[in-house]
Amino acid sequence: MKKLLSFFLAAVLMLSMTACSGGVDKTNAGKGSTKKPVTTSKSGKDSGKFNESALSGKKPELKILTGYEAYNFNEQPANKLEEEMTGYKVKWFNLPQENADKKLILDISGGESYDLIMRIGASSANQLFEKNALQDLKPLLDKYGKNILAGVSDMALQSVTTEDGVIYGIPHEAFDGPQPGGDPYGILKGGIGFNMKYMKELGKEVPANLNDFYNVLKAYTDKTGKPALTTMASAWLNYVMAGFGMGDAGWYEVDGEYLPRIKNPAVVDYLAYMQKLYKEGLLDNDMPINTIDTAKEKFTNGTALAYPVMFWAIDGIYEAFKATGSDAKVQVATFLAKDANTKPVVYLRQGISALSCIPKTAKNPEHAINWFNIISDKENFKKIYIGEEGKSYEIKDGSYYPIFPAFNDFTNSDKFTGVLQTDVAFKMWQARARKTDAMAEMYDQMNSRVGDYEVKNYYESYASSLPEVRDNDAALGTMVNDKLIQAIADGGDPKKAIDNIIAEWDKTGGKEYEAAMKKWHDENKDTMK
Amino acid sequence: MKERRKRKVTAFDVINITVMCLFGVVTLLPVLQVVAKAFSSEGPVIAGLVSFWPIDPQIDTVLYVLKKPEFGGSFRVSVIVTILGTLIAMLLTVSVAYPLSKPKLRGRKFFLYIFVFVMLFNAGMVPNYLMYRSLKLINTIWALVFSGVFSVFNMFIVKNYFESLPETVEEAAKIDGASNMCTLVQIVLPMSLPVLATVTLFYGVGFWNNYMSGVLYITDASLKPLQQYLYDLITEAMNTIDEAGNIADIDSAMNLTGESVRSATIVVSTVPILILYPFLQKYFVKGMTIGSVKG
Amino acid sequence: MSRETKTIENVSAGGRPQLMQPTKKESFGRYFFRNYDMYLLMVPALVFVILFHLIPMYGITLAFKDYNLFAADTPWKSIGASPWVGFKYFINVFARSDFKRALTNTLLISFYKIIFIFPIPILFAIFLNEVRSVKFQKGLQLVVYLPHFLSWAVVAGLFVTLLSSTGPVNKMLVDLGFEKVKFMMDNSVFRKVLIFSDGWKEIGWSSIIYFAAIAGLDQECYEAAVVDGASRFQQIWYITLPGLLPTVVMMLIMRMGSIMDAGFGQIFAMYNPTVYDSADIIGTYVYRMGLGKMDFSTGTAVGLFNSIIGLILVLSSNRFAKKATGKSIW
Repeated sequence: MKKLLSFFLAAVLMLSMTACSGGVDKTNAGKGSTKKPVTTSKSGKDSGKFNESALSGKKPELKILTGYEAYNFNEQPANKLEEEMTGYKVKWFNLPQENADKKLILDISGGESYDLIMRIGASSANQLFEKNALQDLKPLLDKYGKNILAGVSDMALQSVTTEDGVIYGIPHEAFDGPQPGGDPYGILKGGIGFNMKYMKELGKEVPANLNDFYNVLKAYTDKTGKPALTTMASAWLNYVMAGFGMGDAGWYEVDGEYLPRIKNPAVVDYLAYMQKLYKEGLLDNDMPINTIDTAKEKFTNGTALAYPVMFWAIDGIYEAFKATGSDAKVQVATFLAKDANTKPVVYLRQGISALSCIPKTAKNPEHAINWFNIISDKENFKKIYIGEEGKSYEIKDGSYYPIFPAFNDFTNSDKFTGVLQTDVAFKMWQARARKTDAMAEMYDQMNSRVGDYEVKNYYESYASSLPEVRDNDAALGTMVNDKLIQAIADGGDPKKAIDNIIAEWDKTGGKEYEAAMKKWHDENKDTMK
Repeated sequence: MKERRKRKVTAFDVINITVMCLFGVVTLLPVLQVVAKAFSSEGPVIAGLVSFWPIDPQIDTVLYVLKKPEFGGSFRVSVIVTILGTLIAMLLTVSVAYPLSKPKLRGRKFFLYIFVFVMLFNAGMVPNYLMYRSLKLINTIWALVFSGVFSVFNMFIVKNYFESLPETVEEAAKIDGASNMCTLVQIVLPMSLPVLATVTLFYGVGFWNNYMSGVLYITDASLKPLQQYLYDLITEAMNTIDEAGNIADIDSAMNLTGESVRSATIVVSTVPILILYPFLQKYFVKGMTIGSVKG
Repeated sequence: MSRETKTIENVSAGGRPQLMQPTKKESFGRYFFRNYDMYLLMVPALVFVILFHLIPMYGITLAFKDYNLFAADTPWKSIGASPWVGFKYFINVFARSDFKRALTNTLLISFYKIIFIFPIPILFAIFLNEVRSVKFQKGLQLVVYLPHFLSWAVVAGLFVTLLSSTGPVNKMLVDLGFEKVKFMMDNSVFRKVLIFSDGWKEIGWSSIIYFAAIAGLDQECYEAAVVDGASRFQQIWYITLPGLLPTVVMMLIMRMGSIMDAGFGQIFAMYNPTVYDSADIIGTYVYRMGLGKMDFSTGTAVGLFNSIIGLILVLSSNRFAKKATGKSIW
């Protein structure tokens, strides 16, 4: 009996395992189904290859893969809204936060049949395309994607089009600000915040240039013995870098030569300046170990005078001030100028923040593009993004403001939108920036002097799909940041420190990276202004 | 037991208890801080005022976390995976550890070397993923179960415990004509309660704390295990750079969960597995196994 | 030991050939048939191990290949179809200038952890066991096992707050008249912080297995010892410790297998650029090196390297343990 029992036990376990292993799928993988014609034709008008009735009949449920977010897409109000708007039911899938690129390429090479891959990094998309895993969208877009084509700028479209005319992705352009030449109001989103209570006690004004900034910090530290400026661990404090002619951009044209930030001659002066702040104790000496939380803690509990404040963090900061019994207000010095006679520089990114593409394994590519086209209609975009005027948002003096509580439904709807001209989208986005009175006040305060700035557009994210860039950018960036933090903390000779970093840069892939960027820059110089 | 209890309190006892208490306090205080943050208002948490007791106490944050659909879904997934996984894991482990604990079993060395090899060598992310894909386990709850369902380490723990049992009892049973299975179930297992409790705990906690298999095998948000959800919240707050350069990032950064919500999520997602310990703990307290079998 | 003689006795006494014990010259087939239930019991675990461990082991060849997932029609076949590149990926890692530092740090941190952290759970279990109140025992066990459930990211945050230059520990040092210590940024101190925090987090958890082992010890021995007038320390020395030895040996041998992992999760969460000299281990180093690269081979190569070293250490320490203590894990 007992032997029987053990046999039974073993058998059950084995069965439960082999049951799952039935039907090993090896046929439908990799190169994908060949049912869908994939054209690499140079002509743009061969849409006849697609059956007119591709969209007729019942609308299928679409499987869409997108990036990581903390929330479940399937449960968001925007998902329901889109279902009513488009008539398509969508089942959303999310890549993990960690190892997302690897998971993506494994899923696609393994034959997972997503109908659309939405908002993935340009380099991941490019990699999939190189491996021949993505469909050409050109015929689909020509036939079903009028709104999409209207919502994308020529330069963005060109950057995802190969020499053969194949379009491998729909570019989601960054709308950090207007397109070149537009009204820059709203591009400033952060700055160095000062505790104005302390500033009053010091009898100082919010500084606008490097020298004043140093003097204010120095006055505070001399008086209190505490660090004046605290920040999370980062070597690049862009508000200070602005005083040295640098900023968020990673590449700079110096005397006609296109150089990475670390090779910009100004970086030596920047490092010397930061070292001075650090050595004299003006910059928090715990900077290399600070997180956002610990840095914010030191600012809000009254240890530090200044801290880089993003406009949306202001409510938390005021709440924390209140908890410590302080009624201090914050005023912000945005990008610092070199000296009193110079205009401060701000770098504004123009480029692609993500791509949407269709894998060859997709079962319903026409429907996917049709769906994307519907949500990219200007009115629909607005409905998904911020809702209806008078209901969830209002326009005052040309600026967008949210109306609560209706606007709560749109908290996470930004990841559900299609594509739209960036100028228009940027204006709408500002409703999000004004979610609370304090946020609106801070955002408008930051931008009040925007006319004084020299705005420089930079385009390097268009190059992010070059193989040399995607292989080296992250690792080199981390290396430079790490070594620069070391240099700030140990206070050695700045020139020597930079030379060391450059030597390491050249040794570990920087040379190829640079060559590729220079080539790309030479080819596209004229379109980037 | 009784004799020991009657003895006087010695200097040894005093020092011992003092050291133990100190140790307990040092371990407990930082944990208390996490709990205190979960029950404090946002302001004091941001300002770093909360030490070991909540300031401005409230339970809204905890309730908010509990009400989130993402939390509820992940919680359910983790409970199912933990219970199902631990059950299967214990069956697998015990059933293979018993034969291997018999030094006379032919071929035992061969099997043991296989297991040692498996313990030390890992094929890596790609082949594992491909295997799960071939078995059609991707985006199923079974992927989460199978990825932790057998641990060679735990198997060795059980095997070594079996080996340490006095063989006389077992031999006696066999002389009475009991079969191998019968001996295992009726004699060996009741004598092994401490180790079974330990390994159950190890498996249970292992399943509960596993977040890597979610990363590898799951893209369906409704199957995301709780620890992955929690880990994502924590690392997302650390990865998002303050000087977020573009609007896509800003939209995410604006909606980042604050420190008190993160602390509350840590608390509510840890308590369920903590409850497991006291249930198993009675088997760790001295003097109830061998004696009871013999008695 | 006596096991052999006893079994033989039993065979002769019981008449029925004893289980497991092969009778002389019995063929394997007959032996197998007689004990088939024992082999059957192993089947589920073996099937599992073959499916999820041994078959995928084919993929370890990726360490020597340039993996192109799309080289053939399925990623499985692509492994075979990808070109061999020899030791390219090993050399890629080993030849980098910082590798030596990473290797040294890995070994040092691992050894320190074994020397300083490994014994503490054993002592803790023994001495907690000497506390008479069962309630106290249970309560303290529960308390010390709590930190295991905090992820390293959280623990790192706690330690940064405690040990920063304005944190409570430094405040106390200053009050007592000492100099401030840059715990998290000083290469001569940071490793100690790593060892301490690892101990803080894991001692309670690691001691569970020793609690269980002590619980399994024969109570009659203690009672007899008390009757004979043995002191507490004598009881520990002559009964508890020898009783724990097999468990300790087993744990130590298995610990040797993971010597090349000095604690990636911990160090990744706690370190910062100013302490790379003392804390950058192979895991963190390879992680930073591979950022953004779609490279599956480096990880496999490093893993293989670590596993081989682990295997050598496990095999040799098992042999050594057998010689020195008579105990081993197989």
